[in-house]
Amino acid sequence: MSLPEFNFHSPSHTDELFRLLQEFGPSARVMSGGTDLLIALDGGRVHYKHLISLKEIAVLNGLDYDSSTGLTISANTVLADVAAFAPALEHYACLVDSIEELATVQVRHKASVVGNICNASPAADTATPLMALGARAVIIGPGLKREISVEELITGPGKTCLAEYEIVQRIIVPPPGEHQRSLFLKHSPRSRVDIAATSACISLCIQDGVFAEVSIFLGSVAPRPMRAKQAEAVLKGKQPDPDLLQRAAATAGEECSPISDLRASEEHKRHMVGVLIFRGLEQLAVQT
Amino acid sequence: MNTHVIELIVNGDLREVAVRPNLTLLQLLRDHLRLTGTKHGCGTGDCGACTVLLDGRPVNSCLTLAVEARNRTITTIEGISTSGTTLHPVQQAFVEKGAVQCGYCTPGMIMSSVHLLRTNPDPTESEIRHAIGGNICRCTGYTKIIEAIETAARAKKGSGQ
Ligand code: FES
Ligand code: FES
Repeated sequence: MSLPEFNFHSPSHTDELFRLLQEFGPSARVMSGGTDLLIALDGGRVHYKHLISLKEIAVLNGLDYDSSTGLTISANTVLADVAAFAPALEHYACLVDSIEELATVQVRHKASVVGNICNASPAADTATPLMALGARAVIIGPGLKREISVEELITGPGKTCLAEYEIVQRIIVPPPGEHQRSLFLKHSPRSRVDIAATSACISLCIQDGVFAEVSIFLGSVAPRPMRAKQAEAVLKGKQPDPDLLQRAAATAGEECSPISDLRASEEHKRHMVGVLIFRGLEQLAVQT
Repeated sequence: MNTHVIELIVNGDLREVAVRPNLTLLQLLRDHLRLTGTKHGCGTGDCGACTVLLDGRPVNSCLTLAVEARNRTITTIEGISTSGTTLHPVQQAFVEKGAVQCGYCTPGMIMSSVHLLRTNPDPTESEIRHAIGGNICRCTGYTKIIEAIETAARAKKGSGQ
């Protein structure tokens, strides 16, 4: 790696961070783990004169769970810490599964969950679980604080709705519902370390024998992680039976909009969406 | 480019170095501190040859800026044996099991294994495979490496370490 020249800043307070962001504007980029950013800089895909590390800002650290707020993941929290956090393992299986499937042990010890979301890749592994679980992002900027859903945060490939001077301070995943169950499935032609050709996350709740709540999100098959609304509608209020699951899976394969790329063809991705959704629904339907 | 003077602890020694922001931790270790045990393979986070422990966590030193190591503790392959004369149990097991062929992946592989056994002293084969998923070996076919890690785990258990 032969990185281009840049200045490095490591503020210890958010006031200083916002001052730098306002001063440098688009020539600056914030970094937490930097595992994607340094490769993009090295490859000349992005150019920044200033990198601003968030690591020394204490209010951006921490990982917490309580039964009323849910799971709070701060800007600097690394993927490996979430995957090893007992309440995450207990209550947010799909999120932990997605992290276990993301890149390598080394990357998971450096890269942050918030960074994975803010890089806004259509294939970001943690995006579909966070969206399916209804996670919200707390955004801060100079004198401002706002909260939006993670689904609204990502607007396109590599794009978020963050202004230049804003950062995601933390992500809050609401506490799971009483009968909620979830899983994450990923298909990569080569290995699990690889970027997903397709991925899917399903979170649902079966009550009185019918699908009461269903949330399905798909990765790598649209410009951003997408909600499979039509497949959800097929399931809602119905009893799980193999025909219904098959119909929902086929619907998901039809409603997504993948492109052919080096990982798989459009047809193969659509087919695999159907396969993943059917497998996932089948697994969740038999869980008690 | 602003140069930064940073302090960090490398293999137990406090070091003070002046680094340019675009210097990677891998370059600092190999080119400035002459710790050439850590290898440069791909430079893009894919092969794991550059794995070191940063505050006890395995990271790709090629994807870490040297300046990010300010006030942190780094352990490289040169620093894992506590005595300096005997091998670390994982190193010993790699030698005994023939888990080293060309040796290029070995330092990174051993750092990942050391971290695994610290956090999970009795791993299953699948856990071992998962833990070294970020380390590529083009020679051994991995079988001997996995046997070596299993052997090191048993040795550690036997010695009560
Ligand atoms: S040299 Fe760092 S991962 Fe290959
Ligand atoms: S021993 Fe040659 S690459 Fe592993």
